[in-house]
Amino acid sequence: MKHINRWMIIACCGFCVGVAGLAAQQTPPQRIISLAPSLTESLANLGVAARIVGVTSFCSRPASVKQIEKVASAVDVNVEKALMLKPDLIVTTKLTDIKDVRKLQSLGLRVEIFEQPRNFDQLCAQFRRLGALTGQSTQADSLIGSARAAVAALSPVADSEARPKALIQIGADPLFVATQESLMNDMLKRAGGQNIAETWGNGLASRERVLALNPDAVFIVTMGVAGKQEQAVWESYPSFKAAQKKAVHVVDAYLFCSPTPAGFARATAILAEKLKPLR
Amino acid sequence: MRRRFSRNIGLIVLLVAIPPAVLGALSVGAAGIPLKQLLAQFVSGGGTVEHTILFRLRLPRSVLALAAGGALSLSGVLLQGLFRNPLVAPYTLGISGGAALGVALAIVTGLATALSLALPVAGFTGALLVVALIYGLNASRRIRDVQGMLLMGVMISFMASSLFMLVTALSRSEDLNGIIFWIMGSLDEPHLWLVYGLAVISVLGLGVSYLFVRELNAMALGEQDAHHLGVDVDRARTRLFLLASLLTGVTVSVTGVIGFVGLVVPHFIRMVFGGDHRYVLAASFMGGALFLLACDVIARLIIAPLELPIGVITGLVGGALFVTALVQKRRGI
Repeated sequence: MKHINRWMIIACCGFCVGVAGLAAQQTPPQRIISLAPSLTESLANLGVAARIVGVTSFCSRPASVKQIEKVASAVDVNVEKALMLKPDLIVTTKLTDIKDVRKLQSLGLRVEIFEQPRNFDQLCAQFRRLGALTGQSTQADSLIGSARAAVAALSPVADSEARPKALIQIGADPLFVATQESLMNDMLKRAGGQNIAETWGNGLASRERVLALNPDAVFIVTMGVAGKQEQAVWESYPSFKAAQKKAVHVVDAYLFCSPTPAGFARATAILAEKLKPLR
Repeated sequence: MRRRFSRNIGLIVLLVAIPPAVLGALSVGAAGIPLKQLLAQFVSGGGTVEHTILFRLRLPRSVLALAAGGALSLSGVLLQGLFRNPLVAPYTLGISGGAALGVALAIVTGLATALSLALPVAGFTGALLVVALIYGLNASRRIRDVQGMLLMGVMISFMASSLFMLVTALSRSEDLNGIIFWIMGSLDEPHLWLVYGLAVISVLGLGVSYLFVRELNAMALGEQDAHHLGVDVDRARTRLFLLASLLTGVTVSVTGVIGFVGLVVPHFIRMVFGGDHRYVLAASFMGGALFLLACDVIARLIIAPLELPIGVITGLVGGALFVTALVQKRRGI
């Protein structure tokens, strides 16, 4: 009897420890560091902005995240600062220096790496993963549903001939454009355009090639004054169709380069609106 | 006699400056651990965030700064002595270009993501291939003098850089980021054994370099004179080249490309210590170590809590100090 009691007590303790462990595991992270502007905005969309304790110096949307402690620039993560903030989750993309990621992991920190999404479906899958990581799956599914509906409502153009030829320019010097590896390619297609640079390898391009293919529209996704300068360059070519049709546009680089599902829908709607008169 | 005394004092000053410099570097960082608490962390056990920051972040970083700075500077002084050319730096012979090419290929092929040691291994392999190529041409007597060897190195450097640019031009944007990060250089090495391994190798390199003091001093007079003084110039040249190249290759593979240290520090040391390699080797090693440690502290402080790439600081600080020193020397100050 005495032995049975002892075993019962041990079993109960074991059960309690197990349950406590499981509960601790299931508690969503409360101190999150985001090392990418798109992930910071996604976290805010998921309603967990209050749980973010560290961001990069480039995270500026929503405006409230500007007040959060900066732990990284575009090129460097301050590992010491990150460690000091005692995060229980660090989310980052493959654009972060792999050495920094490994350093954080070697310190026992949980680092979740997100691939660069190449299309809307991948973007939604990543958003759902972020929702699951933060315990906000329902919110994630709801936002994805709204974004999908908004994108679907953009009246797809079935006839490929009716689709205006377009180019999305990401960099100016050297000329760098969005190809099939870029999420912007999917935005353009869903907006009813056809990307002339879809199969152009890594995106490095020449103006001569662009002029030869003569797109109906050019979208410049370059931050700062460079965008306006590039617009002037394209508009200076008299035979360039996009210039003739006044369809060389500078668009919001942050929205296009750091998308969330809702941001994707907004960006696609902007492209669709600009392409509509060209059909 | 007096000069010898002052040079000995100079060496002692450099040696004595290292512990406080390390302590200073250890006490600087985003966590703001005060010096008193810092010392307590050495005595107390682990478990605290401060302890982790000190022993897993700051200490390895400081050790890496000392080791890499020392190795690069030593490599620079050996190559400048060998080629009797003050413009030669550890990267002149294409070792960094070879390492960069190796790293770029490892990133583009996905090896860097699959294997945690792929970057240092690929960097070292690239550096080693360049060294082997130059050494092979030298051993086969296709290059008959140091100037020919230098010229060949410069050409190989250009070729390696061009191939590197070719790989980067064809790489994807995510890969491009990784390559650029590596090129900028970093002292945040996640593998501690690489950090302490480099420290051992750099100190061993200093020890081995002292086996060639007589040859270096004789070669400073010219190859002919060195030959008449009984120096086997060919053998010394090959061995010095291999030693400097291996030091550079190992360092670059761990830290990435950190410029200016191997060029600027030996110049400064020669200004202060003269041309005698008995003093110049050790002084350059310690000077380079202190210089890189100081640059790392500046890189961590200047836009805190964010950090600047170390190469930015070595270039700016090294260049500015060098120009100032040259101008003052000309004025006779």
